[in-house]
Amino acid sequence: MPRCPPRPPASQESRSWGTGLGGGGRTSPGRQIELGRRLATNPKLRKLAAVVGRMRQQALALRKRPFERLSEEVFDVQLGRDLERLLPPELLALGHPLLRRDFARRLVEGRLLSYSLRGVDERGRGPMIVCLDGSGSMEGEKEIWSKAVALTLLEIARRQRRLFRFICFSSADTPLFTLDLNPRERHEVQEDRALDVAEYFPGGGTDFETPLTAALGCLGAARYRRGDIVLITDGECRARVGSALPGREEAPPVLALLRADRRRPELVRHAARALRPRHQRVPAHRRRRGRRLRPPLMAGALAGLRVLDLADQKGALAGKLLADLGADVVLVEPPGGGSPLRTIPPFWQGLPHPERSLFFWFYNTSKRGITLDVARPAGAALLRRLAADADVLIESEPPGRLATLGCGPEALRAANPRLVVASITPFGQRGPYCNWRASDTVAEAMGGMLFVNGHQAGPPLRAFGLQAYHQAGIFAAVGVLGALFARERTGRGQDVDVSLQAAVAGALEHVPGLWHQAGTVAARQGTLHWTRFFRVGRCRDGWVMHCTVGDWTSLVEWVKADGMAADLGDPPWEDVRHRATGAEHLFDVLDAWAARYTVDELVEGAQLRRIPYAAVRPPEGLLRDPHLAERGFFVPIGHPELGATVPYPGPPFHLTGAPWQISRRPPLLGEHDDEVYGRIGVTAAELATLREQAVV
Amino acid sequence: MRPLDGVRVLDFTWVVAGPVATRILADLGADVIKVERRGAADFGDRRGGLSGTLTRGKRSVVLDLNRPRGLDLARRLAAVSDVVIDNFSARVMSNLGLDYEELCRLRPDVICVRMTGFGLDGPYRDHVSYGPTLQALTGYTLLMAEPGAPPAGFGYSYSDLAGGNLGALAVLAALWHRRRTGRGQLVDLSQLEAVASLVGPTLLARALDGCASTPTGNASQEEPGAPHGVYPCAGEDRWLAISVFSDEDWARFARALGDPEWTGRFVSRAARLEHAAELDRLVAAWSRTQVAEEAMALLQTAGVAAGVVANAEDLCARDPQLAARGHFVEVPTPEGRTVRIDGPPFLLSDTPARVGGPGPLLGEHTDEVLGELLGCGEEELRALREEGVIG
Repeated sequence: MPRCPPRPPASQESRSWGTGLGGGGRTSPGRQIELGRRLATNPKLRKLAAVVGRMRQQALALRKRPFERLSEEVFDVQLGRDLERLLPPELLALGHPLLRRDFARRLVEGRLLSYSLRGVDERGRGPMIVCLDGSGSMEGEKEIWSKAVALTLLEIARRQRRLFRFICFSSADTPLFTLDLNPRERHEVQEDRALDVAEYFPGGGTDFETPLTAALGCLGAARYRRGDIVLITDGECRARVGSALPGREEAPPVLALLRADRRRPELVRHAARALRPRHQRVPAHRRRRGRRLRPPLMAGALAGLRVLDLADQKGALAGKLLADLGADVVLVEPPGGGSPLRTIPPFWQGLPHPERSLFFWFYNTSKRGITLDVARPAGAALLRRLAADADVLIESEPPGRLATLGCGPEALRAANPRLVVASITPFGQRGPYCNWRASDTVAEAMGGMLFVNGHQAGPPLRAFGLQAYHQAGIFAAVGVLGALFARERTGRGQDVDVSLQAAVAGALEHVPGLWHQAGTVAARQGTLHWTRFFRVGRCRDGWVMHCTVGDWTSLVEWVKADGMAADLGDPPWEDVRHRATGAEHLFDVLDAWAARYTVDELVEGAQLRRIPYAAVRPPEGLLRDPHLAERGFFVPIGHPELGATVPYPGPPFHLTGAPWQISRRPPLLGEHDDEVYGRIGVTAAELATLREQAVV
Repeated sequence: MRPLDGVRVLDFTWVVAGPVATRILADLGADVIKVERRGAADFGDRRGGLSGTLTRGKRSVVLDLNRPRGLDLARRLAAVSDVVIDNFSARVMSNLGLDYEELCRLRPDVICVRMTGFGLDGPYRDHVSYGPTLQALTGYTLLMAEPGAPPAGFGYSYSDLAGGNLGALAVLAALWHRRRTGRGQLVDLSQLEAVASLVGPTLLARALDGCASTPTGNASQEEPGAPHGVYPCAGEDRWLAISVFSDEDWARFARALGDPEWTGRFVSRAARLEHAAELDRLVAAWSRTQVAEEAMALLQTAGVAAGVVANAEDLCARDPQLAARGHFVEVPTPEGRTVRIDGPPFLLSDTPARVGGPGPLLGEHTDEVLGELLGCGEEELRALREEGVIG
């Protein structure tokens, strides 16, 4: 291959500029030349381009750690030595020959600028508004660096699909220079607009009120309601940010990025604190360096609800769903070994131990934990006291068992008429099978799911994952919320009766419908979907899900172009119903055609043609999926006792106004005994006695 | 009185996942107004069957959203609705001018629920997806197989049911939040993420051990147990699921079978797990001589978890427990027929969730809804119908 001739410097910078500004490699040759010409004639721009390119590289390199949530929000700026979270200006200092020594000194002194993270998994956040100080004191190197920061933020906004408004200000009588860098529907940036940002420098004095007022006014418009303001300046800003905007719980976060002025190291903290609304200020001793601050600024949707969770694995997901949505859920476990889930593998590092069960962890995020033997009279009495103060109790005992202990729904509502009791059992509270037992497999069998999975010539196959338990958990949470809505009007709680079998029946698609419509007994037919529009096929290196509903013409043209279409080009196949009846032959032809492709090739080709093919891949494929990475689906949660950070699957849905959050790692056994029992008036001495008696 | 009395849902959902979410809301008492277009394809009998179970208790309005007047009617309906929900791909509602920002202008505290395949942002936001493709991407298809055999996966779109049932929970949570704070919000439900969130502890294990998942067939995915699986019974395609975990379970199982000699080798759980394959063969040899229902009753009476692998007829026509719960209800139609429809799987003791009516005919409630909610008079409705704006 011939070697490429060395590029002239201007177009080298234009490349770093282009890729640094969200062009995404789609810059046309004509634009590249134009960019090159503009850069060549403006030495300031050339320097800026080089800086942006380097900064972007460094910012991206820092973000390549697995499970890093790209949607974390910068919360505060502080001085420290946390190298993981350096502000971009510090990165540049590291790269600058003259400033490197200064950087090293400030590292030793613990006075590098870094940011700490809010750690709120907030989806659908609004745009970023960057206010850049263009006053005289910002001239020269500061201008280059601060604009590089602004443009790097633009790049971040583009990647996060956030709108970006740029406001450059100086003295009060200089009009604000405002630019929206990406139009509403699209997140691409036009390079010449970014160049306008780079070239504009008003000089003169510094007035903060006007740009901040403009930025706040901008937030008042519906589009920008949930945006963030970033202020880049070297000056001390004494402007008071206005009070909370209507429709927002709190004033918008304003982050002040200051280039370190070695004469005024406290400037950073001061300005950041001054710009943060009063009720959000965290005293310095409670700020933890480089770690997430809690609680979140926005409460979960179910904040304030108090739930007692006595369920075993049949109902464990219900408590998790409510807890991750913000309810205060207390898991009640038998003393000694704890919940039976703690004995279920897999285990952290393969070592069985009650505090190392990944099975227990999955189902118990965000819950607090206490121990209690409800089978003992003293324990049942404590449960009644706890329930007197709760909104919801979830349990999965055999029907009537809690009642024999004096803790049935009637007994509990005698003390607390508002209590909702959700019971999750194999077949329900009443009926001929109500005392029967079930595992997840037996429930899937009895609920009609098992029969329709598997190959025709093989046995019925259970689902992957405990889907009977999961559906029961979802319906329990739904039923609980329904009961709470009813309580708003009646003032009383009620019972929610969830059956594993019925929950499975409520998670079927075609089985009951086809029976009631036509007396048809749906059968299993391997990977051929009951609609006959999907079937798994072999590729060179794996399996793919073929799909014949969608853009049929595109698919046929592709297969034809490969000379493998057989009779699929004939007109009858254009009718979707013909494709269903002829599915076996149709998929056989597609199998023969697909055998030449790798899975990735086939799926890419299909998605380009808007045909919904998909790779048949294992669950761990999700861990490497770029779409889920950008969505921040996996959430790292610390288990400090093990010195570990564990990536947990994230929210099943995003309530953008009341974010889902794993608020705490799964509880250690009895971890919250003191605080929970203390709250209902159990003294330390009483608790000690209860522990001796193994009631707690 | 039902829990969601007074709540109105403007329902643009179609196919399966969206209607599964809104049928739960309708069961809970919400007024679910289903916006449809003329000539919309469906599964057949709209009153019952496949279609009726998805649209039970909802009202149907036909609007031509491609016409300005049709779109205007939709906007006016949105202004009086608590929840606006769809499961189109991300662009559709934006193109119609019915995305969250626009809906907020009509009603600032609206709860806007967007159920898409991949979510409202991210590199795959514009990819097309269906239930089976999401199941393929999340690992269900590959791992639902017998060890060493080709994948089988779900025979249906479980992902649509997962997304739909979780969608109902999302709406309820958003409604609860609004009751507390007065504020609505945008709900971004990615069906990929919804069904991924139900894969379970395996995802934690894979994130930490870096190993490769392998299919486990019908082995237990909770605590280890043997015998555990699906065993053939007498007759054509009749099977019994059995789950034995503890030694006490095993003792009860052996006793129920009359303590045959071969059971003596498997008294300990360790022995049962180590020789699970052999144990499965021995149990299958027994089960093949049994009628599934009788074996189930025998084992359950002895305290062992066992259940017939129910087919559609078992489930809908023969199961006495679901019948006792009133799971399938006879619903009268305006035409004087009765259709049989399955209802919500959870029972509320005081304010029950229930099937509120059969599936609606296409456009059955257009006049009623437009008259009741928008004050459209007879003349106006006739004119709109003639122009094809409503149906």
